Amino acid sequence: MKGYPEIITILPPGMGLALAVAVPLLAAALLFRPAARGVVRRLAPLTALPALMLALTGSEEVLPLSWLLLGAELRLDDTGRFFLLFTAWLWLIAAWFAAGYLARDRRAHYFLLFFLLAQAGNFGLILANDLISFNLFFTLMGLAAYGLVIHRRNEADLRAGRVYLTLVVLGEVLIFVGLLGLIFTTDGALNLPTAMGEGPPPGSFTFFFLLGFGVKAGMLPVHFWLPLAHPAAPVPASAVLSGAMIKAGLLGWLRFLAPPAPAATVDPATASPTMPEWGLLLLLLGLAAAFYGAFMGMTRQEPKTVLAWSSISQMGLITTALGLGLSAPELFPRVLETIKLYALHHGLAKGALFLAVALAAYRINGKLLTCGVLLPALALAGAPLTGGYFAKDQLLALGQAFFADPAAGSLLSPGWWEWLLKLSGFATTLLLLRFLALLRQQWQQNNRPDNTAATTPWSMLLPWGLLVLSGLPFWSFYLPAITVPMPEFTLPMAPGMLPGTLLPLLAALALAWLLRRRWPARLVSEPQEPRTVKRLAAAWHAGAGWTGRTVKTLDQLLQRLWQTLATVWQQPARQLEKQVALWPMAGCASVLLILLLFYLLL
Amino acid sequence: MSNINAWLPLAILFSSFCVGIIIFFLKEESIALRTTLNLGAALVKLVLIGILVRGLFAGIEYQAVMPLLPGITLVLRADSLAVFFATLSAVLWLLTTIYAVGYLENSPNRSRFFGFFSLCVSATVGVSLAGDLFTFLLFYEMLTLATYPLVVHRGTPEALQAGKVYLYYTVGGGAVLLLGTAWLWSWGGDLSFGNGVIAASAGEGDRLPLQLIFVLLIAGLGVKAALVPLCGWLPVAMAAPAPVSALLHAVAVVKAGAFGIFRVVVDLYGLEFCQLLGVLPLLSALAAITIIYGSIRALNENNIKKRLAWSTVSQVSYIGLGVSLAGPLAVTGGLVHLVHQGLMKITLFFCAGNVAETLGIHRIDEMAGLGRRMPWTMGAFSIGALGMIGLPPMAGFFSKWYLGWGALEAGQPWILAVLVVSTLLNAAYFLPVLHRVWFLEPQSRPVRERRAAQAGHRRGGHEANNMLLVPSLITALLVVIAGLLAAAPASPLSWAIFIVSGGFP
Repeated sequence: MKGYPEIITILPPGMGLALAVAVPLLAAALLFRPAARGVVRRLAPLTALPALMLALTGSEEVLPLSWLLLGAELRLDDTGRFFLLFTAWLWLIAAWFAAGYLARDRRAHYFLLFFLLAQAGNFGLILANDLISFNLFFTLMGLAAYGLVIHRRNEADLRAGRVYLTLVVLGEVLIFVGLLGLIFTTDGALNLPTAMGEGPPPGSFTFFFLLGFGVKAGMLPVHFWLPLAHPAAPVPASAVLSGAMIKAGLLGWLRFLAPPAPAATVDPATASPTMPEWGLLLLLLGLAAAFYGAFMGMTRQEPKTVLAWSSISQMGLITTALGLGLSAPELFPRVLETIKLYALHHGLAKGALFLAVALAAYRINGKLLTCGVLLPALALAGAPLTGGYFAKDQLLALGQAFFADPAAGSLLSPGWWEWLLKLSGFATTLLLLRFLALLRQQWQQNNRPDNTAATTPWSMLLPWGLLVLSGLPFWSFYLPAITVPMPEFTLPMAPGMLPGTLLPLLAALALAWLLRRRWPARLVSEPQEPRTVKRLAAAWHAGAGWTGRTVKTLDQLLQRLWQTLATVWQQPARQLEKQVALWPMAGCASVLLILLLFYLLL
Repeated sequence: MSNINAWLPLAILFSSFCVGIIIFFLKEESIALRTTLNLGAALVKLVLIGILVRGLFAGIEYQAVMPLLPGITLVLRADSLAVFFATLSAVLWLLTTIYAVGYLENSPNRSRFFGFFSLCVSATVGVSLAGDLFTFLLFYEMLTLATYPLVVHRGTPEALQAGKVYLYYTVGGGAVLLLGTAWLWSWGGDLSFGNGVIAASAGEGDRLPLQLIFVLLIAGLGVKAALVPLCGWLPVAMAAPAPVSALLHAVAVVKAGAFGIFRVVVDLYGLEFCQLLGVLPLLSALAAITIIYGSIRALNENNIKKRLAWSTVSQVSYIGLGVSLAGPLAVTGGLVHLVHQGLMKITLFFCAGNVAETLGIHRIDEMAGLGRRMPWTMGAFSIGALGMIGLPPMAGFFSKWYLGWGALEAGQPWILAVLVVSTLLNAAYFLPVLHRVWFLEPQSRPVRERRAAQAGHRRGGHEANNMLLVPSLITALLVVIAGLLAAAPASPLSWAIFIVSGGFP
């Protein structure tokens, strides 16, 4: 608490936690008053401020709300603080940007409503310290984001929304089962640290967490909603979807798959069960996503879709890191640091790139745009001295430490690991070049002399500029100064390493130059629906039709059965009916009957 | 020994019964008197139940025993479970009465309606306070008779047909239940709930008869609880006016069946003895099938009330499912769903009634853009629907939470699959409705206004009448509070846990 005695410490303990979640919720509630909408629109960015202040200056505090749910609790821990920091910052920037972006939108207050709800959910799930409130906020965020995805109400957006919602509900159910498994194994411990004190639940339940949170994190077999939904949302929403909300899946993994604290594993005999199989699976899925996402991204025609695929690819790398940590629990503390660093860097860079897509639709200075796009793009590609570089370097060291173990080394040698990462950097660079080409086309279309596009408003330029600047790795210097414990990382910048780190970039540039005619970037404004989704939808319809028909047949059979039965006693039933049909008769009779009964009783 | 008080259970029973009788003799146009009587009785009943609960905490025993026939007595006893159900019915009755007064404004035959309405609630309270199976059966049958005129109230061919189907099913079910009761009585003699006589006196040779009796009892109760294959009457009975449907689905008829199953399994046979007899897997399977079947049928319905009715079929079986798992957690889940489902479903039916009354909309494909037209009603509807899916913080989540946890505790993880499929199906038939309501453009204005005019409402009236709206909002609020404050001492969940852990001494 160096030199921050102000606001937060004046508040009663735990108040900062409550405010971080309550302020966006209250703002959302205010939107129901038409008179208040204008004010809320203007002040929306400020709703992220309590969370940001909390992340920067809050002490490690706990807010027990024992009557809420089954005994809820909010808490700010180290991991949470880190996630809250970049998450709150992204929401703040996005809300600020949205004020300009949606200035002429008739339905801006709808957008704002879902935006604020998702924001509250996102902050809440970071601060939640018990299973049920975590689930509650996770659900709130997932459902509220639906309103963002379908904001424009296009046919394509509605389809994307449908896919998104289906996957959200599916993820929700999987997480629900995982949570049940967890409380079953811990005899009903709802408090997160207590519940996770003995590590994750047994294998099969881990699977539910893996897949359930994997939906949000864009893990490979359940990723397909992401390239549809992220681009469908309005740009500020895409930025938080890809920058902040996608990390909620990651945080879920960290919260519910983390091996227990190292103190518990001192004795090898009683060491908690590690999960090498799941770790390996995550490792492989992550690597596959890293390359598959990059490849898919570099063949798309729409800038936002390219970025969405890039998110899948980058989340794949983070997944790989998590896989390493699950396979070798002794590495987990380092894995955690790497993941934090990666999440921070990716969130800031991806957010800035998404916002740039909106800017290219305005009349804007080309050099300014280039500058502001290149910085985050270089960071994603892992160019030296950028945040991405440090993150990748950490990941490299981590993998080398893991594969140095002879058992794991038989799988992949440390040298191969390095090349795999280089290759992924190469693929990412190609994807980003594609994005830049598409963005340039879009900019050119809107900046021809005869075009009447409006000039960029400051309310969009300013937040974007701030986001780009905050993405520079200055944070490594200023954050530790204000009590946010930084992940430890070294600065391995020996001059001799420069060629090695630049190699993927340069190779990608060269290849792109060679193929510049064979790989034309044709700008398409609407994202294409992938075939898998179409097939899934067709399968769903076929399945629904089939069940419907089967049920109908069953029903008819049942009805026939009853009819047969009915004919048997039709005669007495008809007579009964005739009498009952005269209601005064029936009413009097039933009352008399009842009275008689009670007369007998008393 | 503690005090024994006999008059309070009787007073609770008669507070609505007498009013019902009086209302029969009122003139159609004496609206003020009738409404005062109705609301007054509902309030009095609520206050009496409050006194009862306070007395129970003070250690007073409430029991009224009256000899009926040689060897058969009528027993009213207020144990913790009875009070649980009686409170639910008293609270929801008050709200439904307000709703019904608003709903039936200017319609004919209101004295008949409210008379039977009061009798119906008396029967429900009787069912809840019944201290043995015989008393239960008596009120159970009385409930059947008292609801029939409500179902056919409108007198349309459709309503008469619905009444016919309703009567076939329930009278048949009642007969089977009577058979089972008589057989059990002739076998053992003591039908009191909660004394464990049957389990204690059952010999090795009595296994088969007891199993058969169990099947008979469950089959008889299963008609009202709408277990597959006996659920066909419920979707047809939605031809009744909205308040009747609300009461039917939330607390009266369907719940009487579910409550009866609970009584038979937990208090008459006893959970351990049921497990010994090996009859519970049958009930589990039946409940599981009903849950899935009801959801699939709901998916294919376009009529709002029919979809809700099938949803009831599915959701009420959660109660049976919880009981059949026989573990304390699962039983808690089932028991608390008795209240949670009641609150959520009554909200949904109120809202469906609001929409039908205000705009004349009965089908889901006509609901586009309703959120803008009736934001409060649709807000309440959304809360009910999200609760049915089982999303936190609505009440439904906690039922599922305890049921799923209980299934693991009972070593039957396949139940989780049932819960998952049911949740997904619930989402599949509720979320598209919510999407339509909130995100689609409203129907073109002329059509809607014409409809509104037909429904007898003035142009530009945005929301439903307050008499209709306020009860819906209160129940929706209760759904949220029951979930959000589930850990609070007076929440339905805490109460259910209290009952399962032994209840009042």
